[in-house]
Amino acid sequence: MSAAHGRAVRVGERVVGPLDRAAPEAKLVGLLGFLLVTAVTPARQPGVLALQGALALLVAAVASVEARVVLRRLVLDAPILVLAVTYAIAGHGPRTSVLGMSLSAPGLQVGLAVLAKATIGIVAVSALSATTPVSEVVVGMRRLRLPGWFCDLVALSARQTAVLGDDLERLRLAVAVRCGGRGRRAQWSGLARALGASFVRATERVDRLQVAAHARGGTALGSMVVPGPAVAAATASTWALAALPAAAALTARLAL
Amino acid sequence: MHIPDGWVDLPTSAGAGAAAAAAVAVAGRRTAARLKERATTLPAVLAAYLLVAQLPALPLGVGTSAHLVGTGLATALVGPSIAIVCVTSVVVVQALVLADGGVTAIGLNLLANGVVPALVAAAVLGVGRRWAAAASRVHATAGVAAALATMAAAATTAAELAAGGTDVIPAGTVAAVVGGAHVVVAVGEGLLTAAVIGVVARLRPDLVPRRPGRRPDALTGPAAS
Repeated sequence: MSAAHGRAVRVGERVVGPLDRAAPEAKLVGLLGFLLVTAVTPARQPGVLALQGALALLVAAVASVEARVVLRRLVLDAPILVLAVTYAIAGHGPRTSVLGMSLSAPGLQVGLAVLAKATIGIVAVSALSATTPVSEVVVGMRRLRLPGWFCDLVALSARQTAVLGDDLERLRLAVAVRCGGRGRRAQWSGLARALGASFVRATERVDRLQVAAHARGGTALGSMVVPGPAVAAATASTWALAALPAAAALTARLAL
Repeated sequence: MHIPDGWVDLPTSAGAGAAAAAAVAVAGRRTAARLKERATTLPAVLAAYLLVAQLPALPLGVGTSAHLVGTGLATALVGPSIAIVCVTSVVVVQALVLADGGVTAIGLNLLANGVVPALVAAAVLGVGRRWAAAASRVHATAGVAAALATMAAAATTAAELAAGGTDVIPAGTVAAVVGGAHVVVAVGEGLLTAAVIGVVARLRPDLVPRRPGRRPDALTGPAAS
């Protein structure tokens, strides 16, 4: 969205907006509430779904989500598109003619609604992830009383993803340069080699992390989720702000 | 594929969420008992590995591509309990950070991509245990297990869509579309899993269980340090 506003947002120079400062637990609950309202909106109310879509886009704009990021994620809609088309073609009920094709009217309606809801979900989650680093997401999960071991698990795996991702890229490049062929077979075996080597290195990282834990004095790892003072706790006004999209979506659903 | 928000109705999503939470709680307890002080590090690093391993896509032809899913691979290497814990972390990160799969559908996706395929893969590995006693066959068994796990994931997804989706279309049609689309993916998953296990077995034979389903001590035994 930021590009549309003529704001250049690059890594490290994000404009800090109201959603960046809001407490993560409120954002998580607000997101879930909004998506639940969208989920229960029936397919026969396309106007309400359109309004909810506009709401999601508005929130994404406030969050200064980059349009590029959202557009790239729309690829995830592809399998849903296939099933939506199947609904329209193979659904029962009265037929309707679209561009010369005979389609099932209820099937088309449900297919479009499913596609719309999936897209709303992608936009809404993008607003959360653009304004909330994973480290804050897990702080929010912890404050929402999810089990500690589980929050630790998610926090550590998110942290290790960057390390292992770089590592796999280097391995793939090395494999491609040294034994790269152009055929499909070479591509598959190249990826398998890189993935196998990357797995071995991942297990070595486990040992390193364990050594680090011992060095810190205990045998246990210690809590991974450290809610420092940097992550604000939700106040009444934060909760109210976070509930706004869900409340607006619900109003649209009930009023129309 | 991941089920997005708003497709499957809320009672089905909530039911799947409860079932998945129960399964993860059991898997988490078993993981903690088995791994002791490594109960966070090993599953977390493996989850990161699975997240990263899913990114490189391979062309399958006809405009589609495949990527590793990895539940079968993880089950073959560390057993179903730890694999389920790993995939839980993967599904949560995908839903909340990568916008891949619905937030209200986390339970559905966890059941379809984690719990069911891990149990199916473990069952296949158990059946193939005697045959795979020879080290050279370990990766073949793992490949078959991963392929069948992928089909089980597709079947679970189709069942979830049939149970909580719409009734404008017969459930059989949905199952045929989802299942048909996954046959090629399953074959690819099986081949890639077998190849990856083959590479790991060459580099570090101690990391691959000689008899699939049995956990190797180098990975899940007492900490090396």
